[in-house]
Order: sequence, then C-alpha cells, then structure tokens
Amino acid sequence: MQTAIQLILTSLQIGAVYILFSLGLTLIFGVMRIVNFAHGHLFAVSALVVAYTVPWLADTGLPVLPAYLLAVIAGVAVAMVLGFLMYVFGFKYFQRDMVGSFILSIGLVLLLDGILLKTFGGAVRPVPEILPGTVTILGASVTVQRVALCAAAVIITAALYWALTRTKLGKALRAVSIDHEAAMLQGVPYNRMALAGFMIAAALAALAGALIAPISIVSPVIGADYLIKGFIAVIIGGLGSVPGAILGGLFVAAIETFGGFYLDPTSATIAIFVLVIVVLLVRPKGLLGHG
Amino acid sequence: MSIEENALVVAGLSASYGVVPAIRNVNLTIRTGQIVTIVGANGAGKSTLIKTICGLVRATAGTVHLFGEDITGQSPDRLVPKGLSVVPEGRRLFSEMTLLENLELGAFARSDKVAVRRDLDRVLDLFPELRERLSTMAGTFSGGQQQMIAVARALMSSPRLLLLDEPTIGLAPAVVDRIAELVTTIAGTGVNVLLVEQNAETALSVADYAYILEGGSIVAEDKASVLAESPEVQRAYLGI
Repeated sequence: MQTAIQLILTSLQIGAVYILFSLGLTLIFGVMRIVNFAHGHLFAVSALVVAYTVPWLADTGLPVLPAYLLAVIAGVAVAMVLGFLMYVFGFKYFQRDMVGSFILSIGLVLLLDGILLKTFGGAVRPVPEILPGTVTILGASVTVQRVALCAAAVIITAALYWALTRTKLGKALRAVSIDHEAAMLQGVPYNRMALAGFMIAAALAALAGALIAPISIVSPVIGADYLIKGFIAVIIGGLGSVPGAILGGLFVAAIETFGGFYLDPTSATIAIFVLVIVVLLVRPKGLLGHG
Repeated sequence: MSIEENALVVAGLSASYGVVPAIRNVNLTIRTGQIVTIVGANGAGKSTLIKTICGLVRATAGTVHLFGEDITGQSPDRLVPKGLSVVPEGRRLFSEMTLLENLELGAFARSDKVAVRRDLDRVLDLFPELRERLSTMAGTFSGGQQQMIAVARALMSSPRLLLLDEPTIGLAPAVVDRIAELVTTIAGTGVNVLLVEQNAETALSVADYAYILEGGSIVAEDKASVLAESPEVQRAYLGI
C-alpha cells in the first residue's frame, strides 16, 4: 500500500511537469496547427538560467528562497524573449504549415543545441535545495520541494483552464482552435491570437523548466526527454484538447513510474511507445481529441 | 450615384482558386436599405464571391467598397468593426463551445458592454427558444437551430451589412420559411442584407434586387420581382 502511494505521488510529480509541457504543445497546435519541436529548448533555457542564477545570487549573500524566486523570474523572462524571437522571425511565417514548421523547428533544435552548449557548457548543474525537509503523505514520504512543484503545477494548470474558459482572450483562443476562419469572421484577429497562444505556451514551458530545476539534473539537453514525453502525452490525450493534455500527461507519468518500479525503466519507456502506437491505430485523434 | 449611398459596391472583382478562375469581373451594388440576393447553382462561384468580399480569398482584380471605404483585400477581422458581418456557408459554429460563448464571440470586436448586453437581449427576442439553452454546447442543436444561432452570432456584432451565405441549405421547408421571415425582420431594423442562395424561390421572394451568378459571372440582374417572372430564370432556377 505504502509503495502504491509513493508511486502515485511520484507519478503526480512527473505528470505535473508533463502537463505543463503538453498544455503548451496543445495550445500551439490548436491555434496555429503546427508542432514546435524546439519547445523543449524554452524549457531548457529557463532551467539553465535558474541553475546558474541561484548559486550566483546565493553567493552574494541572498537567502536561497528569494534567490530562487528571482531566478525563476529571470529564467521565464529569458525563455519568453527566446519564444518571441522564434515566433517573430520563424513560426509567424509557417502558420498552418505542418511541413514548413517541422523543418523550421528541427533547424531551431540544432541551432539552439549548439548555442546552449556553447553558452552553458555541457556539465550538469546542481541547484541548491530551496525548500528543505520532507513531509509524510498517507505514510509515504515526499520532499517539500516536490510537493511545492506539484502545487505550483496545479495552480498554473487551473489558472490556464480558468483563463481559457472565462476570459475574452481565452474564448477567442478556443474559437480560433476550433475554426480560425469563423473566428476571424467574428472579428478575432488571428495573428494576435497566434502570438498570444505561442507566448502562453512559451511561458508554460519556461515555468516548467524553472520548477524542475531544483529537483532535477540540469543540462542543455534536459528538454529533449520532456519534449518527447510531453508530445506523447498530447498524442494520447488528443492534440488541441486541454483536458486531453492533462489526462495524457498523467497517463504517461503513471506508466513510466509504475512500469519503472515493477518492471524496469527501459520496459516502461517501451510500454509508453507501444501505448502511443496503439492509440494512433485505434483512435488517431487521441482519447479526447476532436476534429 | 455617389459611392457613399451604397452599403456595398463590388467593381470588376475576380478571384481564382490556384489557376482556375472562380469568379470573373463581378459588379454588384447594394444600395442602403435594400435586401439584395445573389442566386446561382452549385459551383457558380457564390461562396468564392462572398469569401473574396470579406477577405478570406484574395482578389486578383477589382475593388470592394463598404459604405464608401475601400476594403479590398482586408482580412475579415478588420471588417467586423466597420459594420460587416458574415453568416458563413455551413454555419461554422464553435461547436464545442456553449451557445452563450458563441454569441459572446459574435460581439468580440465590441467593447461597449452595456450595449452588447442589450443586443444579446434583442437577439434572443428574435429566437425565444434559444434563451433557455444558453449553456448548451452549440454543436448539439438541430440544423435549423444551428442556423438561427449562426445568424444570432452575426447580429451580435451589431452589423450594418449582413452577408448570409446559403442560410437555407439542407433545412426543412418550415425552417426555410422562418429564415426568410427572419431576413425581412432583420432588414426592417435597418440592416442591409446580402443573401446568397441556391434556393431561388425563397431568395427572390424576400429580396428587393437580385443578381444571377453563372460560371463565375453575373449573367442577369434586376428587381427580384421582375427576375422571378422572367421565363429563363423560371426555367433554370425555379423549376416552373
């Protein structure tokens, strides 16, 4: 029983990051009908900036928690600037162009891989513990940092859900993702919505990167693994569907965690790929996908 | 006649899909206060004409003036604040959103909340059966109701010119009559109407002035009542 609870909690932690990742991918796909394979680099940049800034600020005598919060702001800001540049000089010209955007994003992956390696070096960066201690939940012990990560992810996801269903911008984004021409006929400016969707997605990836930095090993290639898992999550859940992204993220995390414990990590990864193939064969739109 | 007296003036408009010309040198005018119809068979270029007017398809030649302003090639979202609203072919509702959200999106370009609220009430007065179902998903309504919702959504932008693209297609005769009545009611509130229809009988009975579109070109135009009596129109479009 205790093992099961421990595994469920681990699934939720990993799932929380996958969800933030897949929400961004699904949002970009919904609004622009493209897949951004360089999305993982926004996540990596943010995590790297945090990993570099926290020790640097701590050295100047700042307590570790305010140092971390400042670093999060810096990381998200840098990633959003990068996202903005990606959009303005790149994806803006490849809207609703699957092949063009695919080639562009692969090019960006190679370019950013080089830049990140050159700038930050290949060595892994440990981040000092931000919130020390552990808590016991239903007999399973979890570090406070991981609980905080989950809480932050839940708040961010809830805020996004609220924004998409309650605000004018959110409703317009949903309308564009259902039928962009019909949305334009209602006066919704497509280009501004595409930029808004892209930047919200960039912010989600950046926040995920900043949140994962203290509990993970940060290196320039950290984004790749999360990108693949996040991408699988949206395929399983249904590209363009927000509830699908959440469900898919939790699903992938659960298979990875339970499979990794009861079998072994390699089998778990294989199981995820088998699952995605089955989903694509049986229900190509994904579990909650439409259109 | 000065261009300002007209709600819409289309002059020498041509557009193509790829290399295939879809409409050629179309001229038409909607004088303010009129219901104008464009009647044509399937594939005559009706939808291309509408899409070119509202900026979804690029014109290869010609101009479009809306209330005296040149709007040729402007994207549709910029035309809504200028008073143009389109009920697209096939309704194109946001089916996974609620009826109320669809109507709210119709008013996207407006920031005058009080007036939007008032218009929502007025629009719902036109469709009393929708009032109780504002939180229902738009995609779950019947075809006729979805057409009503599409019209209601278009009216939410408080348009001065309403373009209706095949509003009666696939609907039961009783619903078709209701739509026809609705067009007259809307025109009565001071909205100019351009009705694009395959159903010539209904269109000609509702409209003041009519154009016949064939093979991408206007082949006839006259008062709707005159065209309805013309032997060629009767033979080709009215099945008499």
